Amino acid sequence: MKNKRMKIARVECELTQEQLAEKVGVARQTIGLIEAGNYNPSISLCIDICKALNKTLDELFWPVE
Amino acid sequence: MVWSKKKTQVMDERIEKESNGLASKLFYVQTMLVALLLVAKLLAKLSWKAYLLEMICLVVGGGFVLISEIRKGIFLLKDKDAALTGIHEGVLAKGYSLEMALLLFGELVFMYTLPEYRTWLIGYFGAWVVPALVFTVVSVKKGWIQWGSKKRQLEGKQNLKKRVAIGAFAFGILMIPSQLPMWLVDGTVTFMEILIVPLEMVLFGVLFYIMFTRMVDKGEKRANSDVPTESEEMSIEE
Repeated sequence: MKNKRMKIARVECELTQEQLAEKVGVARQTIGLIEAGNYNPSISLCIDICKALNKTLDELFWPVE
Repeated sequence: MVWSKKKTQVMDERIEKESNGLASKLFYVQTMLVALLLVAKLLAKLSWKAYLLEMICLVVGGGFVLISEIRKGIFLLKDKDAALTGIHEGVLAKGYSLEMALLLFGELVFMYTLPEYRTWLIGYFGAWVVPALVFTVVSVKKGWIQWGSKKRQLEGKQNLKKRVAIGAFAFGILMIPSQLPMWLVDGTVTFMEILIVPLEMVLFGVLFYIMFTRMVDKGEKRANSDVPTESEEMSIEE
């Protein structure tokens, strides 16, 4: 399932995939895969992404029904 | 894994997980090749010195995996979930790197200390080259080897230049002893013989740099073709 909330949060922070990847220490493609819902990141990477985007884990990664 | 600026290519948790999966399988291939080499030397009834490296590789490599798995509590665990499989593959991947480092270093020591068994060097070469080639080709094809971003590409290339220069220098130092006997037999050292080592250093350095940067560039392209860039993604959505 696509993670649109993460993509929106990233755009709100005016960050490109490459810039966010640089901030959290992963490849640009990993961010692309997470946003596309094709990769399940580890909890530590989720936390790093949340910190970089000033969001909580719930806001970005908790599934909304 | 935290990105280190000193590394020449990016290595994140996704890439690490995927490459560990392959390296864990290559651990078995490499161990099997070393074991086969040991059997061949035993059958040829060579001196114990000739197969000391194989013994070290098997004992250290196998011992490392065994101890690590026991310490992590996953040794001989039958029902491994995704997390435990990841840990198991990580241990085997480290074992693979350790065995490979031992083979590379041991091969050099073997070359200079046991010249009478030089023909057997091809066995060591094959034992690490075959798995290393498989790993490199798959890494490029899957896009595991990449710069990661434009900024990292610049930093990576700068770092690579320094590393290659050091590597070429070390290679030159290693080459000097191998050329010495030839020069001593000749009795006279010609201008070309003096030039040959620095020429080999430069050639090795330039070739390695070009080869490595091309490989990483190709890996980057492959990775980008699997995951479209943002601008490409937007044009698809439009």
